[in-house]
Amino acid sequence: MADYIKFVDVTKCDGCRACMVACKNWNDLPAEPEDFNGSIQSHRDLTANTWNVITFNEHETSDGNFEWLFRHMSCLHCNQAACEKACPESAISYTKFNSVVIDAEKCVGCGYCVQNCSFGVVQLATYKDKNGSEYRKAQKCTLCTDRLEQGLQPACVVACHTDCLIYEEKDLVLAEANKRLGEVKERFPNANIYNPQGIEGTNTIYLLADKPSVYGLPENPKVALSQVVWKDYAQPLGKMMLGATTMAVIGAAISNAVRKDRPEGDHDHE
Amino acid sequence: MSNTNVVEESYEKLQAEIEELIKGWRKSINETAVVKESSFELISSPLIPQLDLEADMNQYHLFIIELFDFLAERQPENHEYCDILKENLTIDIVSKWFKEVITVNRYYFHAVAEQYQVPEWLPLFAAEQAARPFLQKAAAELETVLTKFQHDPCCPACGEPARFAVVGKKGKKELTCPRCLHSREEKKLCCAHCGTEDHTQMIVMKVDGEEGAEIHGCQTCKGYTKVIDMRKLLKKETPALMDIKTIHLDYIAQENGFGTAEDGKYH
Repeated sequence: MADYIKFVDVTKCDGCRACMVACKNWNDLPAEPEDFNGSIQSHRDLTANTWNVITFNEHETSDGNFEWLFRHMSCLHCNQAACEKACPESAISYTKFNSVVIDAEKCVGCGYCVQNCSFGVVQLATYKDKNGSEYRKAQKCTLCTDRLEQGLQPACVVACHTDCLIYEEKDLVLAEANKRLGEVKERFPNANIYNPQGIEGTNTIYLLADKPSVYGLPENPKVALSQVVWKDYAQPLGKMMLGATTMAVIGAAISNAVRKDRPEGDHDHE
Repeated sequence: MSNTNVVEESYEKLQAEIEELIKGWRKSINETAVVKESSFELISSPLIPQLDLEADMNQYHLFIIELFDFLAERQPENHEYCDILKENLTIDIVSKWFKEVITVNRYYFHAVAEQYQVPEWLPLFAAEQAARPFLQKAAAELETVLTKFQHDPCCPACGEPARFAVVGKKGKKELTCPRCLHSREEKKLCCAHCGTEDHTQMIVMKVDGEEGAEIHGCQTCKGYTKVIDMRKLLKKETPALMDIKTIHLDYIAQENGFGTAEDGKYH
């Protein structure tokens, strides 16, 4: 199957929030009513039960006029995901669609992924078991992997009426992104394609109307070297050594047991 | 869609490969026009069966041979039958096949199958698949002429009964012919067969858990159309493949008392 990626052309977004509603609807996420906090942006940030938010940035144009800058904010599904590197339980993995997903069975709610996500996407949800004890699980956008498996487009993409969101073959998306960049450059001189190479690119790429920092995105996110070393080298090595040690201990135990079984005088003599 | 698809994976793969062959053949005939300009004055539909298409019979012959070779390779049990038909094909026979397949003359191809002692489906299937590039080319050339034919229970280009529609990028319902690929816009709540626009007569059936696929049934004429919302699908298949993959919708519609113009009793 060809590589598919999501393209968010923020210059086409009109802030309708249909993607937010579609996401809640498909993923059966509870509503989170919020008090007015000085902006018409519905939620301050992503939460464990709100996996995408349209951000509303007030922007002053070069001629002194006012303009809204919208952004569909959700998981970018990094090719080198810091959350995946940080997870000690290997609960975060990549799917065949290149989406980064959390296995709720394996997640222990440690929150390392929350602390390490380059974009502040992963959040912890608190649940109660049947005894009333609280437990936590990391939650975030799945890129609707369950829909992709059924041959359907992600819910947010289907809901988008301005074609701001596209989920298509990677080559087509990149060509469209470059074409659109050329078209919007006159109106937005700082327009750029956001596909940070410090994390080997992402599976959601943006056409931004201004610098990433204007939208609250890191200019050049990177996964800490210590995390890469820990996840890709130390952990597998540690597991291998633990396996080797276990095998040695079992081997020694069997060998001792065999020796004990032999009669006292049954020694080899030269 | 994959949850309810009843078509065997191997058959689906075979059809997809045949679609690729047709795509290639279509490219090879792209340069030459198959419709004579003088034949545009026709007033009734379907148009193509009334035309004398300028199709290159040598090319058509080659397409059939290529298809027989492909079938013989993929279905060794049909190897012998493909060889028999291949050996007996002459340009005259091929020309006759082309003429008869445009009007889907089942009686003729049934007789051919009996004559050569081959499975009944094989001659018609080969003739039909190899003729599709020409049909599609002709339908594309007739595009402007075809716009005046609305509310036809059959494809105004090739005469295939209307049974399949897609909702395209702009959200419009387009009746699409899986045979010649001609598509024409249709109102969302309108019977493709009798043209009824009375919403109380239209029934929309959906399969549980199958997003983007609907059956539009008409209580006036008991006709139905499968409507697929392509905007929701990840992979955009060809109409012919989509038609095959949604064959379960035909079963459902027919189990609920609906039929198509092809059944005869509705029109």
